[in-house]
Amino acid sequence: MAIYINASQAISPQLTFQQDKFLDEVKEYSTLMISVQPDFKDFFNIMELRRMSRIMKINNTTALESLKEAGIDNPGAINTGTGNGCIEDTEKFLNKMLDTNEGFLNPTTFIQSTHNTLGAQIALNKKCHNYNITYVQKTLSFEWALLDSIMLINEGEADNILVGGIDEITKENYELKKNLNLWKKEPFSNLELLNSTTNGTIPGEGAAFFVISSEKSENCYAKIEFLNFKHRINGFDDLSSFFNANLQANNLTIADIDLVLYGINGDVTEDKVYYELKDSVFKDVAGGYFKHLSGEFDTSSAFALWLASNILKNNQVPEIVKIDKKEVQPDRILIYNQDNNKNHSIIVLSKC
Amino acid sequence: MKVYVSGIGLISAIGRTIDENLISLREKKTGITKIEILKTIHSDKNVAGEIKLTNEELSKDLNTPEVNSYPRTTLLAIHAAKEAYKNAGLENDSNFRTGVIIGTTVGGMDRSEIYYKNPKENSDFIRTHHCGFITEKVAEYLNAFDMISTISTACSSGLNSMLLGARLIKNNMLDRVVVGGTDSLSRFTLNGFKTLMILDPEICAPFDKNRKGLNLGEGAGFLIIESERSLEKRGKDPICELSGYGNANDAFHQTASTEDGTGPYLSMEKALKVANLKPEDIDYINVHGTGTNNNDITEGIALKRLFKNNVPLFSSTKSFTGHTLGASGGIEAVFSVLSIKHDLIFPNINFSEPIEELGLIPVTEVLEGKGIRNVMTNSFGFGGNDSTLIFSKI
Repeated sequence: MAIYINASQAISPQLTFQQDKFLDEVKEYSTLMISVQPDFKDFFNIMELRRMSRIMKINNTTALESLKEAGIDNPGAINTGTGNGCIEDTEKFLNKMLDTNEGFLNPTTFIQSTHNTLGAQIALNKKCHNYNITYVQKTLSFEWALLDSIMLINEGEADNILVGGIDEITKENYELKKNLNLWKKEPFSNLELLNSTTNGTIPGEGAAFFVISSEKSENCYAKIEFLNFKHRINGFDDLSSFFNANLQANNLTIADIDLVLYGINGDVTEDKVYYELKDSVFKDVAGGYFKHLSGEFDTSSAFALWLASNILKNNQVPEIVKIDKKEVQPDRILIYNQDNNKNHSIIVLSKC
Repeated sequence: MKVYVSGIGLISAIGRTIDENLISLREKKTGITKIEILKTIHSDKNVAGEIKLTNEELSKDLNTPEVNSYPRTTLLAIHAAKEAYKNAGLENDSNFRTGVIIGTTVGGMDRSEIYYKNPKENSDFIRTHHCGFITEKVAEYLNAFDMISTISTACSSGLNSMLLGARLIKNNMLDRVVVGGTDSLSRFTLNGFKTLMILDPEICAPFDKNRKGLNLGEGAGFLIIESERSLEKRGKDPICELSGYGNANDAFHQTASTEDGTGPYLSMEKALKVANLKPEDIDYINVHGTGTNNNDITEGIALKRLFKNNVPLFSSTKSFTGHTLGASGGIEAVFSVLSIKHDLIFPNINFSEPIEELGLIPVTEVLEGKGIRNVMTNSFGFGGNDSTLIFSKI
């Protein structure tokens, strides 16, 4: 069954939320890429905002605005994906507990530390009693939320589904992950990712929500042709076969793909596979990338889906997205992301 | 298409294996004791369903790499998943697609709270903190990688892993799925529930008029669920059918449930519909029954809404195991399968007087030979995430 994206909203480190222009201006960062926050008072009252951590603000705003954009008040399901969930509230409770040696603690941050606070708060806001799941499979978290949503539509369980990927980065989490050599050791411009010669990436964050439906609305962004992912793939040959088999299963060939968005993140070791693909399997296909805009995080593929759906709707590939200078007006986009040679994911979408 | 249960595995405060758990249940022997393994200042004032094995002991038994390099949730999950795999007599077969889906809330928190302030001592803990780590390691242990997923919907996480697994089989995306829930005790959750003031300092009393709250617990419960095709191919008889599942949201409050039990009612109603059963077809319900004031009254109201004056035989096993959070659905699903397998209903120990507004009396003695056909089990969580499963005799 065809699946349509009828609403697409993102809060990210770039000017992506309710902008007139499409990535016209690009923000430069050198370490943490923190999301550009709208004036949340436009969406919630002060009492409501006081209780929300940063991730809850970006989560609730993008989710509710997506529903508004689609004109859907009671979605048939709410599926969310997050790698790390509500880190800020988790850290607050954990720090207080450790600092006071399990002394008197405030329950609010504990209550809001659970991953499913993301999906639950949206349900609470809309009084939506329908299916509601939060997926937490690292860099496949958003893919699972999306796959579940597509299955629910195919099962006839729901017509319109709210699905999103959300993650936040905090200074403390950034520092802890430094020890794992995940980040660039020196400040590094996000606009230089393609010229990187070192290991490590730049961390980012954001929320991207979509309303996907069995029927296309006038506001339709794109059609999801398929989604597939695999935790482990052994070697480049298997990876090429993974692409070919998936395209073939969906009656497509490489020539049908007009643009590939690669999850290049500036880590020379991790990026090798993207360049290898670009020079072989997709050598005749225009290439683009997105993590210089969003930063690296577990649900960055949700940002990529926002980007791809907007490219198709606006009939325009922003210059900043292109790897090569090929002129392209894509009808069909393939998003490929992976995580340290694990969690390979493909999403293919086309014009609706 | 039908989905079958072909194997079960379990570790909880009342036993390290299926057999040990079954003995404790039959003997009405609780696993709720003084806290000894978890290092917390609250150990003398609280009881919990704690498994009296250290991480080192668990790790040694499983032969997992580097003692103490895996969080406790991961070790418990591998322990139970291994038993389930063996119980199902499953062997890797590249002709069949095998996946692993796990529900959890604690993730790697037990290690994070030890090393958080001393990252130099063991900087690796942050790599094992995310919930998905558990599933990666279980998949690695069983060499089952076709699909891996982790769900975190608070206390309904375990049941939701089974619901997803069943749907993946029905959608022809997997043939066999290792599904379950795992959670360990941690200072984070113990202190968290303490701030909510819903911990009973003594053994909890689910569905009792004078219930004072819940006891936390830990453990892991796993099922192997399988397609008909896969079972036929290997000539294996299943234990029972996973016939129904429902997921709904209460959409009322982050930590409390509605007075009219909307979420629980809807998840049970949906599960009946998927199973194509009527309320009167249910013979036993392993209720969520945490022993908190709020849960038991709203679950009871939802039961009466759905079953009217014919609420089936029911019991909560939380006074045996404690509330194991994301693992509770996993553990209680295994209990439900055992109920069908042995035609057995487990007692709700520590019950004395019914809640006045409900007048509902749980089963308090071991019942055998009731001719159990369909068993329902509930899990309700923070955020109003409610789920129900139904298992049926074949």
